[in-house]
Amino acid sequence: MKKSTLITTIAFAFAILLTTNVNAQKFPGLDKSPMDAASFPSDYKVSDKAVKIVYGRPQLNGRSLTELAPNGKQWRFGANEAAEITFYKDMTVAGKKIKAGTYTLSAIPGETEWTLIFSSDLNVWGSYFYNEANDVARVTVKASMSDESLEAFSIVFDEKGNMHLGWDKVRVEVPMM
Amino acid sequence: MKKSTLFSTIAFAFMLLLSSNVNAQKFPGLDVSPLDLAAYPSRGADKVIKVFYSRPQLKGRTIGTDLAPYGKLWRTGANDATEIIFLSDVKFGSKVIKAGTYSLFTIPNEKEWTIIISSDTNNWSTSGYKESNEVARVTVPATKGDESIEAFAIAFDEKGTMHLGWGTTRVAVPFTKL
Repeated sequence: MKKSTLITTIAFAFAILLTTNVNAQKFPGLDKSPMDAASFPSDYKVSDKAVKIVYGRPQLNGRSLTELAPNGKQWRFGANEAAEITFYKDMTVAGKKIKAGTYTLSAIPGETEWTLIFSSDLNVWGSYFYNEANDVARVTVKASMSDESLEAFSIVFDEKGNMHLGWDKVRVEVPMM
Repeated sequence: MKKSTLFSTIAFAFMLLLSSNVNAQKFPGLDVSPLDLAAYPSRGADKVIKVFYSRPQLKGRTIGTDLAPYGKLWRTGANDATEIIFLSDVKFGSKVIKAGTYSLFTIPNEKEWTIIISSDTNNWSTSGYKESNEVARVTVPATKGDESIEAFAIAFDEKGTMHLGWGTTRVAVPFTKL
């Protein structure tokens, strides 16, 4: 009898453990590569936006871009979910017309120029599910080097509406109008 | 002449300093209340709901007084108003909300929270809130959890209920896909 009581007690304790796990809603901690948004016009008081991009911000943490965003290989343009860009009106990006809408943005980094790929695939993780058939536009933009190193991958719009990318010493300017 | 040469040199150096400041594009640092995404379903590309919200942290402060004050309209996060995107029509309380992009506002209280879906978007904090742009308003109970959550958090369960958690406050907001 003693042994079966012990087993019952253990089973009961185990059941309680399981129940609390089932009932308590799990909440996520803060992401190591936090999400951020950049928009144009960048002034937060202006709600009538032309462009908004939401992207994850990985950090160098002592690594180099040859490791993190290697030249010639498609890159998710940030971290976690693929970066998503919303055009609230029809735009011209580096000479190519793109209709208003939300797109997934990925890039193929290069030494002197980067290729940006706008895809109609949405809500995808990384660039693992990339399907070339859903390409909306591919544009080529110039890459340059800066003196200053940025620890976290950064996107910002200037006052003309051009999108700037920066990570480590690499800078990429994407003309938009 | 010597004095004017010195002056020109200083003026020239100053101009160089200014011009390099003008040319270099400024980039933002990481946000103290980082943006995050909660989505239903949490896995897969076929989403029904996506919520973009910023995540302020308690840092020893109290909900209801210092943060998310009771009885006042709250942005449900930090920075910009929280954005909620429905990729299909959903039922929320007694209302049907059409697929689209909205802002999510709340009015916190000790025992119940008011959840507001508004058609105003891309606004800072609650600055864009207009009562006439409310699409739906539902009151749900607030409960207490055992664990204290440092960073304001939103998560969906497998039924599509949106859970808000901060400190020991827990709020469940049911949505049904139509």
